[in-house]
Amino acid sequence: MSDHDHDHDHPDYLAHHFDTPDQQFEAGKLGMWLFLVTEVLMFGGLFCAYALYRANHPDIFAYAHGFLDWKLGAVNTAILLASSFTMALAVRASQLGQQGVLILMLVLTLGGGFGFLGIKYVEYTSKFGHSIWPGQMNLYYPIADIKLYQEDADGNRITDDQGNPIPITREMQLREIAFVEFETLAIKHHYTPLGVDAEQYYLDMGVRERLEEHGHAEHFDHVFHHGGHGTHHADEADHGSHDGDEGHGGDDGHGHAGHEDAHAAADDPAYDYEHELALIPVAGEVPARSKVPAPAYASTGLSPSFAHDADEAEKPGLVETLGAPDLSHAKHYIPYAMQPEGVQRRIHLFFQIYYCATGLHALHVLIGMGCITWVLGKSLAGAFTAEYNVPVDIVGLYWHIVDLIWIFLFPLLYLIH
Amino acid sequence: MTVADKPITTDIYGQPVEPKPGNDYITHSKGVLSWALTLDHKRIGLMYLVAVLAAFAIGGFFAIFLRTMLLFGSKVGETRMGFEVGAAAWNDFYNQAFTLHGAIMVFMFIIPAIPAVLGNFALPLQLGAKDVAFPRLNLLSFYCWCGGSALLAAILFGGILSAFGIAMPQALNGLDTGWTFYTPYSTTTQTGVVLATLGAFILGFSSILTGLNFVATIHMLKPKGMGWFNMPLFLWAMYATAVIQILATPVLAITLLLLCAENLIGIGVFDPKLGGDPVLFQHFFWFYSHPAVYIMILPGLGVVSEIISTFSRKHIFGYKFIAYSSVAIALFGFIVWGHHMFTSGQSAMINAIFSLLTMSVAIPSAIKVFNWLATMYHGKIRVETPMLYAMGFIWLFTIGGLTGLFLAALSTDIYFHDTYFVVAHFHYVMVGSTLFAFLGGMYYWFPKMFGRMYNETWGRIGWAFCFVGFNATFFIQFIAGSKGMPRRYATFVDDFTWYHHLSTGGSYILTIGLFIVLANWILAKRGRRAPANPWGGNQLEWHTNSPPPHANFEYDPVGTDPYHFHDWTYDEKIDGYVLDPEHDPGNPTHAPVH
Ligand SMILES: [Cu+2]
Repeated sequence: MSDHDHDHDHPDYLAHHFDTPDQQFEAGKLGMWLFLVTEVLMFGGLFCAYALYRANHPDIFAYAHGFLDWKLGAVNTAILLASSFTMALAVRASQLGQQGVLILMLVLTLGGGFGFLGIKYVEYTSKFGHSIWPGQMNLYYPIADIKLYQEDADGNRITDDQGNPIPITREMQLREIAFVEFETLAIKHHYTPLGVDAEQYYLDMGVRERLEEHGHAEHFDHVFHHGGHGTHHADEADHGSHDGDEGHGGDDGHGHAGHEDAHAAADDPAYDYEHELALIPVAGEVPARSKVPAPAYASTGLSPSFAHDADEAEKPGLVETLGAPDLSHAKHYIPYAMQPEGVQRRIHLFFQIYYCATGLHALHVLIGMGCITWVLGKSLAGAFTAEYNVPVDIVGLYWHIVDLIWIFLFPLLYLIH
Repeated sequence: MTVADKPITTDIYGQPVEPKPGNDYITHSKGVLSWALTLDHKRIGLMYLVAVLAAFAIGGFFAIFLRTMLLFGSKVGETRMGFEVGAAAWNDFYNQAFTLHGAIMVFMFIIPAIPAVLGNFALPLQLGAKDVAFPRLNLLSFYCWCGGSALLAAILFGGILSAFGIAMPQALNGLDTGWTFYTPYSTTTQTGVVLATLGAFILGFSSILTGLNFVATIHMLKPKGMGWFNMPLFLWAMYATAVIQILATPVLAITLLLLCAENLIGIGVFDPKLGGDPVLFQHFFWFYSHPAVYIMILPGLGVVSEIISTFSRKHIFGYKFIAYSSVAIALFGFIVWGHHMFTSGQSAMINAIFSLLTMSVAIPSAIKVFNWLATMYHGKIRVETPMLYAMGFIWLFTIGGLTGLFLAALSTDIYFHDTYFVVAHFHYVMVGSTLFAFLGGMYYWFPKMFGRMYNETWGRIGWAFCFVGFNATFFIQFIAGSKGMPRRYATFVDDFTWYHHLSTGGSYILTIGLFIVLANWILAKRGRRAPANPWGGNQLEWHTNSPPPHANFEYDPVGTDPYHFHDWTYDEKIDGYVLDPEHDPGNPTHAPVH
């Protein structure tokens, strides 16, 4: 009976089990909101892992995020915000039945998506360029960038009697690591003073010599001396905002005080590079656990007993119970290569969370762009009118959530204090 | 000759209806494609039924297999079932058997069983709606189930082949982590964790889509005259379930993705070797999987509420308490997960808090049980097959729930942790209760689904086998567990032989019972045609023919009190209940409509 009742206003787009277009629209919207809840909760898991590891290792997060370029992140935030705005305009245009505006706005939104992914591509490739990879190979990332075997002047591998290539020595590796890291952290990211321990360390590792070979010795001096005391303050002000981000900019006083300490440390015969050397992993080999005093809690603090068990079991490398050094200001800065192995692993973890979160988000951007393309195709075919525009509205909602998730990811990953 | 003997059915007013092909949803259209591409919630429900029963059969096979292995668990060194008991191959076999049993039963059977089969079939009918809110999503959800299950099945067959000495790549090499995929073992084992987690991830999608669909349906498609507080309680239960599916499953999704990435490229979030923490995995996993236990049990509680009231011919007692207790269980379910990690090294403070919160779940659970008992009190109880299952459910759920308190209490949990006591507890809740509710619900809605009556006598016999078999299998495990028999062991000392023999014997009885149930359903193909309302329920699904037409109702039904049974009178001729048209608020003409 009622089948006949609403035959007269049962347009094509209205499914048979709904009575009115309004009801169908509300149902669709409710469904989409529920789906967005699941999306937020899914990222919630990652945020939770992030919060946990950051709460336990704030210093490491502060250190590791220095590899990220906050400017690119900020540009991407702006792009996504703008595309969210154009998406909202598209929804409005569809409700007003403005066909042309709708198509223009959808194209602009899509463009924003491409822009975002383009910049993401640049960021990822620059990470890969520094051998910061997703996954386990990242564990030894400074080494992944350097040669594993000794070469002669022409770049041919030197072989032993049996014709096997000879691995480079730890000493050689350490020099390579120091060089790659110095380039990455100190030069490419205009790092503020790295601290005096570090200066001596990088000098010892021949970083300055190699920079000189390339004619870039001034980079080295710039990083440690800012062109002398006179310009020190001005220079630091230049990088003021960046300082804060890095988490170990420190105040000016430390720069000088640290300087004095530095020479003391460098002159100190007890400063044992040999010991630090032993901590550097060689590619393909898991080094034995070092005997640094262990804190009472394992990495995340969720499982203290687990850590104790492992200690007793003496399983090499099973649970790393090294204490994280204080990286919070320049004086104590320790270069990555000098970090105890456990700290290196946690730095690794930061990038894994970075890749998981941004990768999953990028996947959502892709899906969103697919949906926008679909809506664009339909609107080119003139499918939407002032009466019927549910898909535009729903895809719009999805695009806003993609935007919203990034708004949380950006400060959490790029702007750590 | 009475109407019942004739090959015709009757409508809700007791008028004979000639069953013509095409008049009901089963014969509405023909061909495999008309099923495979159907958007009809009733057909999708039936496809789910076949699918989850197949999963149940496979999971059950592994259960019987491992129970049979345990017959010989104390004969270490002797050869049984072609293997040396206690040798590596024996242990591997056992590990794989209990893992596949658990993973298949949890992800492929128990979680979807009631929502996807009975929910899909009955939920729109109870709402007087023509379909769920998003029929295409509903079909997608079914195919997600198929896709996820296909991955698990691939691992399973790979595991069987490799057991016969055929070399398999690791991805297909069976699964031996237990259904919980605990790290660090799941990141080091040489079995197919990656495919299994992907499979569970896709099954999770299926679950999310079903839940999302149901919430939207209940919100948007309530009929005229039905508000939140005259909805059948099954709908409240399904709503609470759907909320859990939506809020908890995404956390499992990200956990499984991280575990996958951990296995594939070694991201290290759960790997202490790389700076991560395996206990974080446990927290993530149980943040989903404890609420998932309520995804399994809540729909069962809803089914039982319907059956108890209908078969007591009495208005449900404490409607609002039962409705709110479903929601309370769903919400409490999110804050108790830590009780799975009492021995994983949480702080004593956190343990105490989780212990207290866990015990509080007993309150809404008990509210339900007492309300059911109060409903039955002074009712005109018809002890027929669905009611037997519902009463069996109360028994099993009470035992399962009360033993849960032992595990919620810190002092006893430390002792019972990882023993058969735990195994028995969660089988009473997840298997006993949910399975009995599922079977009871199937018997309850069977006439509506297929338009045929099953054999009542064999229905009762099947129930008796299941009930006795189940209790024989699992009650003894409480005792074995409390005497120290650890779970997940392929061998044991002689002292436990007797317990395991009894338990295995019980599992055989249970199997016989389940086969009787299955045979009864299949043979019902030739059963008497069902009247529109064989039980006299007043929920809206009984306000249409059996089986319902493609669009569910002849006219838009109007919601009434679902537990007001007095307008339906028993008609001996058709062995069913008929409605006086004067009392049918949905009938616009107050006359039978054809
Ligand atoms: Cu639990």
